[in-house]
Amino acid sequence: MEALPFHNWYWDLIFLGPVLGLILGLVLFKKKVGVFTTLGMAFSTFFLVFLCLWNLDTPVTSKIFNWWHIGSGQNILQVDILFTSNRLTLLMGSLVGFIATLVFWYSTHYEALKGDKSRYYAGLVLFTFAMMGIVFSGNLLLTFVFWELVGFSSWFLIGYWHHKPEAARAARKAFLVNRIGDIGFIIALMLVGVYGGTFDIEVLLREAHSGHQAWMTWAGAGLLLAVIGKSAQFPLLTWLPDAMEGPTPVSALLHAATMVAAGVFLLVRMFDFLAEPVLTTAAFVGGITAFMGAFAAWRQEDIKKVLAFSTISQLGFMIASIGAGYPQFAFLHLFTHAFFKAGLFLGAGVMAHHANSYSLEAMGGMLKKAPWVTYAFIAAALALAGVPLFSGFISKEAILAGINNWTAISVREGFHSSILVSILLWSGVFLTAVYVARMLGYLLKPKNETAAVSTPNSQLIPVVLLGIGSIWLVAGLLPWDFSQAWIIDQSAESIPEAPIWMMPLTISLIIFGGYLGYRDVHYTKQKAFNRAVTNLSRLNWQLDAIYNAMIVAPTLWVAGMVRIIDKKVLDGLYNGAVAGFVVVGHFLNLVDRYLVDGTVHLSVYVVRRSGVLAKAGSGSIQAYLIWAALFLLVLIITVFFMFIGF
Amino acid sequence: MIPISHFLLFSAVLFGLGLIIVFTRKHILMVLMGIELMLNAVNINLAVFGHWDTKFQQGQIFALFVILVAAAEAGVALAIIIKLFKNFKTVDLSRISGLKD
Repeated sequence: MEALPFHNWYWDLIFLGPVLGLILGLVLFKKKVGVFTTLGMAFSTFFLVFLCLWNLDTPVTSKIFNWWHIGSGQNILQVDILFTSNRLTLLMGSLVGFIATLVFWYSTHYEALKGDKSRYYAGLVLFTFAMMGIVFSGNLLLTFVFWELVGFSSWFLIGYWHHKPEAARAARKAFLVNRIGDIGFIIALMLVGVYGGTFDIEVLLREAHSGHQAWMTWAGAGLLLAVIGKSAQFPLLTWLPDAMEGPTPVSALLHAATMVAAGVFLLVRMFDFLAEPVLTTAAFVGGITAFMGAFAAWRQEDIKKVLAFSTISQLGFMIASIGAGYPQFAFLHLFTHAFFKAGLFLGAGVMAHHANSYSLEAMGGMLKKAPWVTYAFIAAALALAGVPLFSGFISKEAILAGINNWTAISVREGFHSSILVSILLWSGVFLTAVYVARMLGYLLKPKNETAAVSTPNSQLIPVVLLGIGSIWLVAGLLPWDFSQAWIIDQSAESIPEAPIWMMPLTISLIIFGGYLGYRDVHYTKQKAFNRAVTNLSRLNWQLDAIYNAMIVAPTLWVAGMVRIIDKKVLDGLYNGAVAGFVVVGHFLNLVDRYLVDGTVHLSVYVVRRSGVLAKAGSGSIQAYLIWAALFLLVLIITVFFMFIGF
Repeated sequence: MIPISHFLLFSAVLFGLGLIIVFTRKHILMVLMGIELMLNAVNINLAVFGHWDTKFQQGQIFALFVILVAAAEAGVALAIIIKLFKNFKTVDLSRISGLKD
C-alpha cells in the first residue's frame, strides 16, 4: 500500500485526543467525564490503527522543534523534540490506545470509585499520555521525561485512595523502587550525551549497528537497570505486588499497556544499541524473574496478587527473550500479554464486586453469577497458561524457540551456564500452568448462594472483547506456527526453527502443571514441606524482609546517626554562636532604643501632623506596597518624559 | 524556535498576576506565593535574554542565583510568617496593622 504523507499535526491527533476529551468533559458535563475521556481516547486509537494500516512499513521521524542546545560549532549537543513512527511504535501505540480505551470505558461504572471521578480520569489521561510519549519519542532525553511522567502518574494512581495507609505506602514504595532503576537511566543519558554527542535514538542505533564501543556497554547496562526497575524484574520486583492497592482498572492499565510494558518496550526499541554482555545479563535476569514470579504466584490467596506475580513472571519471559537476541518475540508476547492480562484484571474487578472480596476463597460459583465475564476470564487465563489455540501459546512458543536456539549456540561456544536460563523458563511455563489451574479451580468451585447478578455493559463488553482477544487469531492465522504471526517483521531477523520435541514438551508440561494446580485447590493436608513452600511463595521469597534487613534498616540507622550528629555537634556550635549574637543584640537594643527611636519618633510626629500623608499610613502592608508601586510608576513616567521625551 | 516576544509576553503576564496577588490577597501565604510568581517571571526574562549570551550564559547563571536567593527568601519569609502568626494569631493581612504605630 502507498504510504500516506506524514504531517506533523498527526501527532496532535495521537496525543491530544484523550486530553481534549477530559477537558471537554470537565467543562461541559462533569458527571460524564469518563464517557468524554473514553471517546477522546477511542478517537486517538482509531487514528493510530488507521496509521497502522497505511504507514506500518514506512518509518518516519518528524522533528517538532529544536528543544535546546549546548555548546557550539563542533562540540554542539543539539536536543530536538523528535517523534518516530515506525512498525514498532505504531503497533505499540495502537495497543496502548486500545487497552486504555477499554479501561477508561470500564472505569465509567466501576463501583469502588465513588463520587467525583475527575481526579481519577486526570490521572489516567496523564498516564496514557506519558506512555504514548515513551512509545513515540525519538529522543532518549524526551523518553526519559515521559518515563518519569509515567512513574509519577503511577504513583498518583496507585495511591489514588490516599487516605488508606497501605495505598499510600504502596505508592511510595513503587515510586522509590523505580527511582533506583532511574539512576541507571540517568547514567545512561550522561554517557550518551558525553560520548555519543546526540540523543537521537535512530542515530544512536545506526552508530551502534556499525560497531559497539565501550561506553555503549555501560550505557546499555544503565538502561537495563532502568528497565529492571520499571518492569519489576529481579531484584527490583517487590513494588508491583504492593501496587495492587490501587483501583483495579488502574492495575489493568498498569500491567497491560502503560507502566511495566514501558520497560520491555524500551529494550525492544533500543535493541541494536545493547551490547553482548548487557543482553546476556538481561537473559539471566529475565529467566530468574520468570521463575521467581511464577513460584510466588502459586500459593497467593488474593486474586490480584496472583495476577501481579504472573505479570512479573511473563515480563521475565520477555526480558529473557530480548536477552537471547529475539526482541520481536518479546514484542509479540508483550502484545498478546496486554490483551489477556487486561482481560484478567478487568474480569477480576467484576468478580470481586460480585464476591465482595478479592480473596480466592470467596470467588467460588462465579460461573452462575457472572457467566460471560467468567468465560472471558477463563479464556484469558488459558492464554496466560499458554494453552494451544490461545494467543499466549503462540508467543510463548516463539520465546521458547528463541531461548532454545540461543542456548544451543551459547553451549556450542562454551558458555554452559546459559542452560540455566532455559531450565528457569521451562519451569516458569510449568509453574504458570500450576497457578492458573489453581486460580481457575477456586473460581469454578460450586457455591450455594448463586443468583445471577447483572453487570453493566460498560464493564461486560471490555472484558468480553479482551477475552476474545485472547484467542490465537490476535497473533496470527495459524495457532501453532509463531513464525507466521502478523506482528513479526519477516525481513528483520532470522526466525529460529522450533525443534520437533518442543511443542509436545510444552503441552505435556501444561497438562501436568494444570493437574497439579487443580488438585491444589482441594488439597488440605498440611505437611511441613508444603507449609514451607506456601510461606515462601506467599511472601515472595521473603524478598521484602531481606530488603528491609539489608537496605532499609541500615539506611534508617545512618539517618538516625546523622540526626544525632546534627543535634549534638552542629546544634551545639549553632547555639554558641546564637548566644554571642544575643549579647551583641542586647547592646544594639540599647543604642536603638535611645538613639534611633528618638529620631523615628520625631519623624512620626512630623508625619502625623502632615495631613494627607497620614492617611496613607493605615498600617496595612499592602496599602504601603500600592503606594510604593504608584510612586515608582510616577517616577518612571517622569524620568521617561524628562530624558527621553515625547 | 519560539519567538522571543512569546516569552516576554508570558513573563509579563506572570509578573502582573504575581503583582495583583500581592496587592489584593489578604492571606499572607498567598502574598508570598505572589512574590514567588514575580521572581519566576523575572527568571524567565533572564533565561530568555541569556539565550543570546552564548559565551558566558550570564542570564541563565543569574537566574540560578535568583532561584537560590528566592529559596533563602522563602525560608526567611516563612519564619517571619510563623512569628507573625504567633504574635497576632491571624494570617489575615488586613488585620495585621502593626506598622501603624
